[in-house]
Amino acid sequence: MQVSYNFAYLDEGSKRAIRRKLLKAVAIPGHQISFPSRNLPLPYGWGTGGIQVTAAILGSDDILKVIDQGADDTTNAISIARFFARTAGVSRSTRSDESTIIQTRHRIPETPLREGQIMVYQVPMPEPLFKLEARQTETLRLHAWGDYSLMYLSLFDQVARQGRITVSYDYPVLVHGRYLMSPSPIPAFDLPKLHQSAALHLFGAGRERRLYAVPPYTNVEPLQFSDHPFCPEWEQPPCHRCGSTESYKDEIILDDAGRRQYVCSDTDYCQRRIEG
Amino acid sequence: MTRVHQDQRSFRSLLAAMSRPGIPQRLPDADTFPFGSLGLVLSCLLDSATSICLWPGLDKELENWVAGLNARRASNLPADFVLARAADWDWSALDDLPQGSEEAPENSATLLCWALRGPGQDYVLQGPGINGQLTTWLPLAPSFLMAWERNHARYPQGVDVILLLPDACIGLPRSTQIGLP
Repeated sequence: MQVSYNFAYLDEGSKRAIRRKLLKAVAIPGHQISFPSRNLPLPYGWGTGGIQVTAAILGSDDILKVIDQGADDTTNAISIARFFARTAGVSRSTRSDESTIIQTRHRIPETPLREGQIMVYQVPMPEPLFKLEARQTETLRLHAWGDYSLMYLSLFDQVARQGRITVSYDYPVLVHGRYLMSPSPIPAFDLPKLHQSAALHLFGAGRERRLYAVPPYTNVEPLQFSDHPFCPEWEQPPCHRCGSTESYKDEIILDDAGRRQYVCSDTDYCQRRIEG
Repeated sequence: MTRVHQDQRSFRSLLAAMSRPGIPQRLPDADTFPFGSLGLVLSCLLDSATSICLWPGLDKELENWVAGLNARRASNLPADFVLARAADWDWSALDDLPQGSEEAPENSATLLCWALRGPGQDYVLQGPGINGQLTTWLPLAPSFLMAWERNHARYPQGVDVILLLPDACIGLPRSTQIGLP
């Protein structure tokens, strides 16, 4: 552990500010709260929101797992895990079941989460309405009124044009029956894992300076229509490595002829299946 | 243990308390810290960016200790935090605390209710953070229920409450529905 930084890099005042916001975020599930996003030794877009949330909650007895698109061994995941190992001396793990904090970019592990675990999401754009209404002054009002007709219209437009809802990631959800929320760009495949999850889910967007939360055992329902229910497109061959038919797969292009292979996106899940 | 680590541990207990309403979360080292669980929570939350209103009935020694945390002392409401002994707190005053706005419901007050060992009874809790429903003992007299119903009805606006027991805290976020068994 390198001791030239404060524990987990952020100064205590910044941590306290984020902690106060996190307590409010948990009390109002799905509601975006602005927070004083600090400079970090990496640029926005590389997980600064998630890193600040993790820094504010992390303790020396935590076991930290960091994944990027489900993988423990990508540059972003390894760099962030190493950052906290350096600045907080925290234990690292690749196993979802033994980690106490899992910082993630765009996936929820296949291994069911348990009570006491905390998921921290890196969020590029926290505002689910931003493609439909660019003015934040307006989206604030729409959230205040609970008026999400714009989003319903957008989904209806997809049904009218293409016969189905075509959103495959960052699928808009209604949290605790009140707030429209971006679940971050996780695949729609992962959404059912958020509903009534036993774990606490914290979301941090560094560039946009906003955070929000979904407490355990909270309703997280995808927007849908009675005649067009939420039904993510999901037809993938079995994993090339472990043979799983249950998991979400990455598609790997093998050559210029377009041959492709599918492997589990969650490397921990895949490896443990191979090891039996 | 340094204050850095102590504050982190206290915060994790608070985070667990607010995300699992009604379930007491132990505050490590409450028996050795000044003012026990209350001192740990105040140390974790307060700094010069916050304001706190001390409800009448708190002793001078505690007031002096709180002053050392540099939070702005609000002699009247509004304040980010309101600290009161459960025995002195009038639950109807919950309506007078900052409730947040429609656009920013997070700008509401948090009531730190120093319950110590008061009268209490079983309540039934439902809402986010609760698996189905939870029947649990809370150190609160039933008179708090009417005020809480009004508070919960204002959701997403409303006040969040943290009950402080001698060595633990219990979170009651505004999203929690509370009734009698």
